[in-house]
Amino acid sequence: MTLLVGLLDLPTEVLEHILFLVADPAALYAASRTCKRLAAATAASSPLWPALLRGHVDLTRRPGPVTGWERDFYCFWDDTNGEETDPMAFAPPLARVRGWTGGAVVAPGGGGDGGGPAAVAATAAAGADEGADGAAPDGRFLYIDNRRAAGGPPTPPPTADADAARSGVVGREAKHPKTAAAGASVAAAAAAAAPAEEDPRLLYAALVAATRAGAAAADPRLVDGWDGADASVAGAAAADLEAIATAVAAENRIEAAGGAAGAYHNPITRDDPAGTAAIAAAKTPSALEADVVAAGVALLTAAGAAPPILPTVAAKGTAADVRAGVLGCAFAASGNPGDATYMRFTGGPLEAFFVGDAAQQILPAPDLLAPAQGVNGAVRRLLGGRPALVFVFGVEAMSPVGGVVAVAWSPTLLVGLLVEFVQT
Amino acid sequence: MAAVNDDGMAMTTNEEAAPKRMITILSQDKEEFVVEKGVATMATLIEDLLADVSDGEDKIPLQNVDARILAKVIEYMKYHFKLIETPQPEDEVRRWDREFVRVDKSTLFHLVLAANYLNIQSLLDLTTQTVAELIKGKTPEQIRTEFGIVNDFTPEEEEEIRRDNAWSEDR
Repeated sequence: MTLLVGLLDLPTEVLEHILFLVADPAALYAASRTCKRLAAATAASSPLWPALLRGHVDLTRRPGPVTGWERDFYCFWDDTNGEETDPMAFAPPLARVRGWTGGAVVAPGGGGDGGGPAAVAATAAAGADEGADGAAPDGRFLYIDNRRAAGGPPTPPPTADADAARSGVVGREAKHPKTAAAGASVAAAAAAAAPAEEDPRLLYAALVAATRAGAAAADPRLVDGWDGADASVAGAAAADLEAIATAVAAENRIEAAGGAAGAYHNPITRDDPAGTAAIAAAKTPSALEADVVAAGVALLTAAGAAPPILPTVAAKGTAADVRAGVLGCAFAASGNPGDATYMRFTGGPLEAFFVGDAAQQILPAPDLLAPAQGVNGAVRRLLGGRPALVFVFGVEAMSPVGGVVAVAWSPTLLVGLLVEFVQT
Repeated sequence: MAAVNDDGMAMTTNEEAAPKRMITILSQDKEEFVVEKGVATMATLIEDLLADVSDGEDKIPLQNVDARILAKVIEYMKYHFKLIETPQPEDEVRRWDREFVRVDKSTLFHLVLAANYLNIQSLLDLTTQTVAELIKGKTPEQIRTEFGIVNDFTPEEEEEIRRDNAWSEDR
């Protein structure tokens, strides 16, 4: 007579293989909360995560430019777009990659905060089988691995345990075509394997969220409608943002180092109550914010921004810091011409970035509201309660204007969603 | 057009009509299953065991699979072996696979174990994917109910795991 067998009677490597196939971070988190055995199998130290990063994440650079920025536009700080014959001011460190390939990339539909699923792309797993472009979504991502430059540990080689979680059997070569193809197609993704001292779960979850958000944001109608009139990325809040940024930059004397910040912005002074509040807020970063600041510095460094890049350039940005009803953010510039700036958002106020008063100017067509809400929901999930960076490549007269909602995973490794508005 | 053998040589009538080699698989509970060698060697374990046994000895004992599960596994191997000669539409194969794993959970887990033991990667993929689908989209309590899992966390441990959620989307 066959004895009854349950899920927890399965060998650990088989259990990990099942969790590898589950793939979805939310489902894995739910599994981790059921019992100690599944908690152990989903712990940060589990070989499951390196296996997921190698097997379900494809960071192979896709052909073609990420945004067109690298090809057609040039970054200047004198309110011009430059000429096509001008040398490029800087090359954004972006890579167009497929991202998460572990399941159907589902973006929220027109259900307000994105509760209703609406498939926006085919399952990327099928694409991984073929190792081809297929119909898998090309999300728009930022992915920077600056660990090596920061003196971090080199990318670890694949381990037997990690491969076992993918193949399902310890010490056995994966022979099934599906498994073998997945392994081969993600060779470049080996760089995503997190070093031991960092939590690979957050990176994996960030990649999944960024892929979903990227798929949601891939609707070209979302950006084609923007006329570029009287709006920067932040729309109506632009003036406030610049003022805050200038205040922070001035406090840190960044303009003295590079000279451009003051030329571009209209500084506000210590006597200005708003400026004083912003400066005070900038000086008291939270513990959580310290990670974001470090990530921002790494981001700017990787973007080629010349020093000095001061950790203190990151302003503490919340809705309360600015004023009610506008974006809760602040941004800072390194002060060098052509350098990127970055803003710091928190999840709640970021909604206005896509669906809000400002977005209404950008998205006048009613039929765009649902996909915009989809992006909003995806980005909100991307951020959750954490702060994130918006890395801005241009403002005002620049076209396209864009940025990256970056998840601050570690000071040296970032994943983010590229957002771009093209002036039409 | 003449049929060719593995070496690309034209086969004689005798070769074409040669009887297929049959293998006897002995289950854990001593039940015998006689199957074509090609079917049996879909299991890498059996293929390896056959390579080790002396010529003429075609009985393979399996220590970890009983007759009921082995019958199911052989059903799977026969169907998929036949596909090599007679391919079916992908949808049809998927439908058959879905029906095949429409079993009670204990049987499903036995099939997982058997596929892992016998090293039949496609069956392992099918069965583990089926289990994975049962986990997706469920709350911790629903997962416990689905699989009969007892919550063995202390309240403190449960709270600790709930706090350690920075990596999840469920923040």
